Amino acid sequence: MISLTIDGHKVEALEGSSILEASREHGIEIPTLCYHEALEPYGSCRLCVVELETPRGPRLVASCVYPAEDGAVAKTDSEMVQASRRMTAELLLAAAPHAKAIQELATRMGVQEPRVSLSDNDCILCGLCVRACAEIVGANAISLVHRGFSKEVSPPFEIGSNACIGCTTCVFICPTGAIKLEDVLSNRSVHDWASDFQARVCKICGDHYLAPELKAQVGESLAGPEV
Amino acid sequence: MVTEGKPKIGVFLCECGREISDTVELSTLGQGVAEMPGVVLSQRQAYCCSKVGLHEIRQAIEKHGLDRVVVAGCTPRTHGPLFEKALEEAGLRPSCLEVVNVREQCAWVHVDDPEGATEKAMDLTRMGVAKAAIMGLRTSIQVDVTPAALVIGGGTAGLTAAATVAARGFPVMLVEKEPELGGQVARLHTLYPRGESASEFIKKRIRSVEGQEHIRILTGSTVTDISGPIGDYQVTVARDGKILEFHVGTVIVATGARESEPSDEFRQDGVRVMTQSELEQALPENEVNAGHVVTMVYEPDPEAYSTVAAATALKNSLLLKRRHPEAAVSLIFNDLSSDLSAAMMEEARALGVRFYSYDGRRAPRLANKAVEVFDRLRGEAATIPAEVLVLAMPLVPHDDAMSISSMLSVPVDKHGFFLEPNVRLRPGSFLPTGIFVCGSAHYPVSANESVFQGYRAAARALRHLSAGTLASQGPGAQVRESLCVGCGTCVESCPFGAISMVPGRGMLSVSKIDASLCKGCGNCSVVCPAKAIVMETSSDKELIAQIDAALAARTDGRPRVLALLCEWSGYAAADLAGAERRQYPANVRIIRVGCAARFDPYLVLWAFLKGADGVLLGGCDPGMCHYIEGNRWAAKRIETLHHMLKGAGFDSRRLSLQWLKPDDGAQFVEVVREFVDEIEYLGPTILVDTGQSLGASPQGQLLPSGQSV
Repeated sequence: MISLTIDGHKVEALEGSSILEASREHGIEIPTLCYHEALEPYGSCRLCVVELETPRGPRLVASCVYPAEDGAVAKTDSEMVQASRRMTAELLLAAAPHAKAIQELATRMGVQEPRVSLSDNDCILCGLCVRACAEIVGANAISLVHRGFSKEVSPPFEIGSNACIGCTTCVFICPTGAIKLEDVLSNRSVHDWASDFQARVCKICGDHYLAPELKAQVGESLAGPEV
Repeated sequence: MVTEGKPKIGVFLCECGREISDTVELSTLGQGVAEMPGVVLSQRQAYCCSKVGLHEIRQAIEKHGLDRVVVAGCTPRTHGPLFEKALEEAGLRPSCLEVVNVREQCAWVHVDDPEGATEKAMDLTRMGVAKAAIMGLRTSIQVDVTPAALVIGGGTAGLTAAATVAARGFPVMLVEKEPELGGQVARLHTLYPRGESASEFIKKRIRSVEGQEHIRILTGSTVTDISGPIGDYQVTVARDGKILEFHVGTVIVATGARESEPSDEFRQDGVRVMTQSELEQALPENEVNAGHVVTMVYEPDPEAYSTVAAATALKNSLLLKRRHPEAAVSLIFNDLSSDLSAAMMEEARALGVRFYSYDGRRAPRLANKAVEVFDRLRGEAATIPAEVLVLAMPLVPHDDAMSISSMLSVPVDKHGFFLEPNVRLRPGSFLPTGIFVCGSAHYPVSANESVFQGYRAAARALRHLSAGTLASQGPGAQVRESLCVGCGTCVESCPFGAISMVPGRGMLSVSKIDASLCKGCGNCSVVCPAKAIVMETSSDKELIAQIDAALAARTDGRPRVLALLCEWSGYAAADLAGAERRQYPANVRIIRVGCAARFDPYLVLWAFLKGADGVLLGGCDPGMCHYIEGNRWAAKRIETLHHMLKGAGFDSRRLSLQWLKPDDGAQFVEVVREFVDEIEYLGPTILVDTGQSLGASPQGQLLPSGQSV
């Protein structure tokens, strides 16, 4: 166990946890978008910044990736942090103006209308879908491609891929609702499984049939837990 | 599958910050949980999924000797693997975990109804505990991969794949049915789009496999049988009347395609009709000497459009015009794909090749040594004189593709091309088959694309071969041989061909399930008339325990609706509805199943007998089933069950099968609302559980008289 100070409270944390984890464990809420408990932290949305005291003065760090150190002093709601988060929220709102989660977040930060407009696409490139696909599902069907303004989430070579298993974990995990099933399907070469469905019945009697001598055994197998 | 002694279940209640504890009264839940049978520990945590939370779960497992863990928190779809890992670190099997989804199914969706949410959370946790107490533990399958590969087809793709695999030191058997290697490209003159010589191209590839120490080339041979388990296929090849047998770990299908034959409608006196490949063979000898040549992309079926045929027609029109500038060359096509080489199109236009685009519904016809075509671009009919008609015929699979398809159980599409044997399941939950398709066996591709596909298939095969062993923890089905009556119904029901009949005791044969092929849809366990097939996870027993637990305590007096949801659609939709905070009535209890194929009529009847007022089933949209056709089986079964219920005097409106989309939380909420409204309108059922078990009631008389009043 290590101990650090967050917002004036002395808190204890497991070695190896991040400042964000240490804070949440003690009920100190830090807003996040690209953080997910089941995934490795990534540090892309910069909403979780906190002010950390360093020998060279206060400094902003992304709390989701910054390790909690013994004796560290962090502020999660200082003026410096708030200013940074407001700017981040404004840029996020500009990037994803239709996303409900972003709108709520921006309102909470006091941002009404972004001063710039960036795109109509609600993807904020937080990489949650890409990481979930790799780490939870293990399919690695999508990745972040290109750089700068043209950066986007895409399957390899931007063509349909068989790696996608259509589990829609990316749809569920997307914080802005930017991914839809159609996107998932178009990212996958959909196969029309050429199998004709035929109603099949028991060969012996033409119906679903239960042999009388098996009734007792079946009753046992259907009767629930043995007590 | 009951564990020895009494199970020791630890239940961890997650607050999820305040996401869950704000709506669900966790202290009430904790008290209730502590009294549930088998529970030795009920612990509340701020975040079960945090480092501290996982640490405490691990500690509790050691301290209390837990052998089952129930986490009442969020969706298992995202957080399940996290807890499974923690269990593994504490020395438990990952399958000892049950995650109860109280966040997405209670806290987030019943914000205005904290009491209902708490009661539902209690029921869901009771269901989880009841399931955990009797939960079957998944066994793992391990198979060795024979370090050798079989490549069927010695065309461009097959040659490339064979050379690539052999270069890594794995022995390769290259089987070609023709006496010579080379495939379709060997019959071409030049290649699209750069015009390199086809013979040079294919000779280079043939040289790369000839004399290679790891490659054995079997020309003039056909594969007659492929059998055996995944990882160790036994291959039989017929060559000159002799039979060869060998074992391989992976199979690359590169059987290619051929030009289809022109039909008789083009046979006419005085007009020479040839296919593109005939033209390519004739070109070097300067045989085609005609004043009027028409090349035509022939598409009897618009779906059969292939870029390859169009590209070949374009390439050859250009070649003809270059060789014979004086000849009038026309190119007739339905639709030229935009990915054709723009440079070639421009050159062809500049040299004077005339382009005609016809409407697919008004096919051109040949009459009086001329092609009559309605030109879509000019909007008028045109008559183009033709001495030679060169047809770009659609490429079709070879005739033996079907036999290879059935040998490998690789499906083909309606044109007969192979589909990649890749079923959309969570990777790791089943064994990869090690069968790969490349080149035109897939769909018509150009020579260059064939090379790429050959490399790709080889890369995948190499990954398979170098792995050495394959292991998976499949949620498979198992046969209880003592119950099997040998009817064979399950064999037909398995969409993956995993079941076969083997000789059993006495005169009966018994069914045997190949664990490496079983994907765990559970269709066989439903069709089995003797209930001899049991699923390792989500067995009938577990589902029945969950149904019982869901209906055990009813205090609110409202009708109780049970929802069995396929984890790929309905369950995902319920999760999404939660994430979007869409509210719906709290008297729905959700049970997760692997596939709609598991919607067993017996389970539905059981639920009704245990007092469910309505049963909602949610499966994937038709055509979207992850297990090929589980939802169609379900539709059929539930339709029959509807009739039976009606016949028994039971209101069949209480049973509803819905197709749900995993990305549509709104649709899910709407379906649930409508169904609950309907059930509330109908009121509670008057079925009383007489204690008589359903299995003991004779089939055909589903509701024994006296139970429905």
